[in-house]
Amino acid sequence: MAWSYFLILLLLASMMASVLWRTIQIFFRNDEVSTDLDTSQRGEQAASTPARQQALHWSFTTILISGLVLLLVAGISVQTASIHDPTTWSLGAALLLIWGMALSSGMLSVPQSSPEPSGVILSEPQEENGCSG
Amino acid sequence: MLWLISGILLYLGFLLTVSVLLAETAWSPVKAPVKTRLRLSLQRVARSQSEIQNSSERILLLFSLTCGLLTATLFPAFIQNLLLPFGQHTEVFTLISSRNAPLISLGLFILLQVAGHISLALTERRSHTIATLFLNGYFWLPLILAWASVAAYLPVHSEHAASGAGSGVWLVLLQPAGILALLLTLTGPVLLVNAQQPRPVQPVQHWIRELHLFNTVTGLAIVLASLTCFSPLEGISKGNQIIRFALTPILLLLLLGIHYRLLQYLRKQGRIAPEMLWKLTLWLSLISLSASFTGFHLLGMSDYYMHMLLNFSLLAIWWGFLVPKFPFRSPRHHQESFYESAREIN
Repeated sequence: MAWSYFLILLLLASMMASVLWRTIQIFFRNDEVSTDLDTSQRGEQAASTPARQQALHWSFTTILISGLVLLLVAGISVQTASIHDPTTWSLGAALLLIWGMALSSGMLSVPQSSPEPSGVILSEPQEENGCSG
Repeated sequence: MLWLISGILLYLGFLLTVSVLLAETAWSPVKAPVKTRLRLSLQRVARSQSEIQNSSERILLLFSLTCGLLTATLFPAFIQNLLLPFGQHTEVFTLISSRNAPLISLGLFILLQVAGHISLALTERRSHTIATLFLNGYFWLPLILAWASVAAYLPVHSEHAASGAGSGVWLVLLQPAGILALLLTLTGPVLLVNAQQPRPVQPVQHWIRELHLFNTVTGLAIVLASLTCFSPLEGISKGNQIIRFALTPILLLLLLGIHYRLLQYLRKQGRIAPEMLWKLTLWLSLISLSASFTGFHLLGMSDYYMHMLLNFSLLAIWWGFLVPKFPFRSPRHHQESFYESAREIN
């Protein structure tokens, strides 16, 4: 029952999206308006960005931490269990592991002290030519 | 049933109008009449749609739009799960009826938002570097942490759960650090893209992103006004419910205000460092997660005043000890120009 309700909503939403897309495309066609804010700068930036900065970094640590967080969320149903409960021990261990992994992988470190970007962090784009450009 | 459908349609119309109007702010001045801006914005979107040649990009944009619209149509179910006490659900629209329904609703909402933002960023990957940041797992880590810290305060409807206090204090008071982290991480892509000068945006993507922003703020307003685990298990008074419903639009406006103030602040800083901002958010969400855990398990507190105390003191600690270590220094030339202008005034 609930799942079919979700499917109906999904179907409705996708139909609405395509109808909206077509409506805007057909009824508001006007080639005179401009779409660019700053064509020159954008082109420059895209050209000057090295390929290294466009690369993606999926780190294993991130996935591990997310898994542990999901464990914590699953433990919410025992909200006020005491410290002596084994569930609480494991949840506390999960929290400590999250802190440990986040600290040791350099996610929380100050950039000045570690100028070399590790594989975990997105390589620093703003130092050379600016992400803000 | 009929009022529900008309309500959804009304909200959708409102959402579309607002997002189209907000998208136009990047191009034309705010002072122009609303009708002109609406027409201009739609024409821009249509023009930019016809410029997209790649069919996979078109499909990704459509998927993102679908995620946004699906979130909007799911809001009645979210309201039912989060605002009404367990057991009062009507038969027709119970999407999730387990005792963890509030938790799952919040998770579903966040998943849809993330899917929308990631598919948008995939289409923008070639045009600006900031989109690469949104595609990193590292970028979404604070979001999942903030979700875990806020989710601990939602009701779970079991005999183990905390139910000490007589009345509910809302999440905005109970868990300020987690709510702030959740707002920052959910509106992060919008914030970071719009804080850049000049904004690296194209009309279609910008419009869909503004639509996601409005959905985010509405969803968070519902979460803020929702029941907490401290509310009593058996029925809540009518007055309480009415206040809660009336509070939702006010909270929505408040959150929008916070978002735009933050955007303005970041723009004034001149050149912003997105990664620095993200490290701060990660700190904040880790601390709020630890606060939830400490409150519920180590201290075993079932009194909501103690949770408020703990959270506000943690917020103060975060602000006092950690923020100075990550100085939001504006670049030197920016400071110099500021001093020059000060001298001119003198």
